[in-house]
Amino acid sequence: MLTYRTLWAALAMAVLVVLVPGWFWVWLGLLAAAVLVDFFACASPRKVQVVREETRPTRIGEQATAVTRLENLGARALRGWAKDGWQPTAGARNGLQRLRIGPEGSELMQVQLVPQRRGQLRSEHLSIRSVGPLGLAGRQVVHRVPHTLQVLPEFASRKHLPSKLRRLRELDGATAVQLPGAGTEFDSLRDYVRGDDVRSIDWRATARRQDAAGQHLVVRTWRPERDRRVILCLDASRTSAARIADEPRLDAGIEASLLLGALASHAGDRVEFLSFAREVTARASSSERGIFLNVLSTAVSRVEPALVEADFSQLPGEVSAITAHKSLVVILTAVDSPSLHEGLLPVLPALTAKHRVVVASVRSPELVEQAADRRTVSGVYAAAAAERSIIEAEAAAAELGAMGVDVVQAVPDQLPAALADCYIRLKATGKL
Amino acid sequence: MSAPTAASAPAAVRRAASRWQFWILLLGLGLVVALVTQLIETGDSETYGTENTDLDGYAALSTVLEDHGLEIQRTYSAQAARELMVREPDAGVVVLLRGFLPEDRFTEELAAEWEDGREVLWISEQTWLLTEVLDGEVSAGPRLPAGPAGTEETVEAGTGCEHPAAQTAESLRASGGSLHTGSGCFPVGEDAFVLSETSHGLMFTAPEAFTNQNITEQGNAALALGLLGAGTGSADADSVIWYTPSGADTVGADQWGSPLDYLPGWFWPLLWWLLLCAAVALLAAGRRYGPVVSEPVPVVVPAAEATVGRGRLYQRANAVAETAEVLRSAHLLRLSRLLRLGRGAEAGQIAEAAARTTGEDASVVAEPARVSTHDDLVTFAQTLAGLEDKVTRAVRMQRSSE
Repeated sequence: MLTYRTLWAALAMAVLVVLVPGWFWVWLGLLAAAVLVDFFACASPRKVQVVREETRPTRIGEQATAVTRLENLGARALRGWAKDGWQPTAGARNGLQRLRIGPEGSELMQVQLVPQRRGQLRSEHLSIRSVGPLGLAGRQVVHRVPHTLQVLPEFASRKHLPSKLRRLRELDGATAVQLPGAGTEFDSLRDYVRGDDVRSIDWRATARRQDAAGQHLVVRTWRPERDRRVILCLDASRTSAARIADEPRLDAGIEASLLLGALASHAGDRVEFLSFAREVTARASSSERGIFLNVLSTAVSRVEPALVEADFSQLPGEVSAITAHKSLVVILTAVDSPSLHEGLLPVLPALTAKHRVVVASVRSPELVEQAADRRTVSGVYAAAAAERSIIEAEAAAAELGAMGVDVVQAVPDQLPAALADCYIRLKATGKL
Repeated sequence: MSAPTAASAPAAVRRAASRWQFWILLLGLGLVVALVTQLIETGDSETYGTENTDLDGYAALSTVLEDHGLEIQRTYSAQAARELMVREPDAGVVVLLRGFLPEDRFTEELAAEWEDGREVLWISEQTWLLTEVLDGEVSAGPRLPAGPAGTEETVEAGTGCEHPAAQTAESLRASGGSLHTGSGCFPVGEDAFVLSETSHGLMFTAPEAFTNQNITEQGNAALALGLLGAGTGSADADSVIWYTPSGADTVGADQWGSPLDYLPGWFWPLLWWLLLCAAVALLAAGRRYGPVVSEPVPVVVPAAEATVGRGRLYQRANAVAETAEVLRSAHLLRLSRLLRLGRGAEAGQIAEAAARTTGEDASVVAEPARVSTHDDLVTFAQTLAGLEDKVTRAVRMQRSSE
């Protein structure tokens, strides 16, 4: 391996060749000798131990540092470069670094990463280039020691979480004196204050609390039911690979599942997540150890769209394997007629018979734009095609609605919030 | 624990060797094959070449001549031929013309040699080259006759033929030309001959007769041997100078000095040195820092693609009426929602309600439109969009005033 310094040296020696052309072979010999000396005098890049230190999961767009310890096992000082082979989307800022490790010393190589993709990003190898004392030549060796970085989804809809949680708490407050009924459970007993509904007075408790001070009316308070089950089913089949605006449909689904998962787990519900195409590809449960949002993010970060048709037929089985109780089943998929009629519709009755089902789907803003284009002939034809797609999607949604399924459709940015609103509404009306 | 994470150098070499085993073997095999073909090949593929074993070569003739102890000395330059002539005063000269003319000086020298009794045989199928050599002394004659299917006919030596070789051969069968010389052997027509004697030597215009393919026809072989070896009178000659004029003659004649001769002494060393620098630059710039890193790219399909494609299909099929109907039903659906008419509303009712709301005619949506051209379609689509806009505005006004 030669360096550019060899080139500059050779170009400088061209002057000598011009001055004493007869000594051509002498000059050539000099250069070759210098290069050979360097080649043999450099520290062996083989005698290096590469130790990868574990990375912490990070989110898209956030900066992470991947640390690698390089231990020089040889007796010579190692000078040169090290290149960490991170894949391009890991966004390594300083993948190529200068090295200077003393004999039997060690050095930490810190690579700044700004990942642009979720999932497991890898660096398969680290190459070490050792240069001789003259800097003319050296040796290079590839150490195949992999390094991985778990990159979680961006969760841009995190900003909605505080407001939705407040809504939930308001719901709690609003239902403090709510009448017993579906969707509420007994919370506590407290003294009657003016304004409470007289129907919520618990006469038996009032009778028990008779004391010398006089009459104390006791009312029962109610709160929305807790410990409901929310099952998030993310469709990762071929329809999820379709790009709407600038991101795949799957990413909008992931964002929506993250927001709803975080919200429901905060509200005290038990959340299960599964993504599927032909079979279940990822799972997460709020009963697992750790903060559920992290558990869910890690599970979701590995989901990639598969170019196969989704197999909805196993969905009822998977859901009943998770719970035998009534729960909220959220299916994040694409609502367009062909895939719906063949896949989801036939299995829906089995789900709706026992559970409350919500189908969430991304609406394409491009379609509406395209439908409004009336300027040119081809524009009008394209508009007609777009109108037709819209009509078909609406018909499909209506069909779902007729089966007792709640349909949430929104453009990618708004889908997480819309789905969260749907959940809150269901909870408020006690339909969960 | 503290072991190097890369394999040791000998292990790495062994692994590389086993990984590249197939290619190394293939390279070795290729080298062997190339070497063998180099050794087997005679290297002569020139037309009428004395070592060419193809159909158009003279290998058969030259082998027979060599068996008779006659050495063929091939040369492509006039200078070499001249030196050979000086060294071997008895040797006959064969000049085979194939596109290039010999130098004028050499032609004259040959004419003088011929005068002095040396055997000179000019062979060429292109008779205009021979007339050039003879400086217009003779003119080109007709071509040898050919049969109906393109097969050559036999030409007899003729009664006026005086050359012993031709007399022995009696007949000739090949394609070729002839020269108007007045006398000679193998006449074609009135006074044109294939073999004739001129001031510069013997002229033979059918070289095709001596090729490996045709040498066995009629008297071809006898004529060839008679002309080149056995029959040449000078029985003591043991070699033939076989001269084929080529471009090499004219190159040497160039009188200009090469500009390269005037370069300073350090030029060539410097040039080599800079070439070396270029090689160093290639090596320095071409060495990657480790293997190429690949990115597993996910599959991403634009969702609007299918819709756009469907629109193009409509257009290609000229589905004007169907397109208009789709647009109309889409607008009807939206209008009924805007005007709060419910799902089951009829087109007529919607049109009526729209007209009432906007105060303008809304009959375009009432029944299927009669459009037949693209222009009509665009106008219709724009009318629909305009109507929806107006209804939207009117409804908003109404509701805000309520």
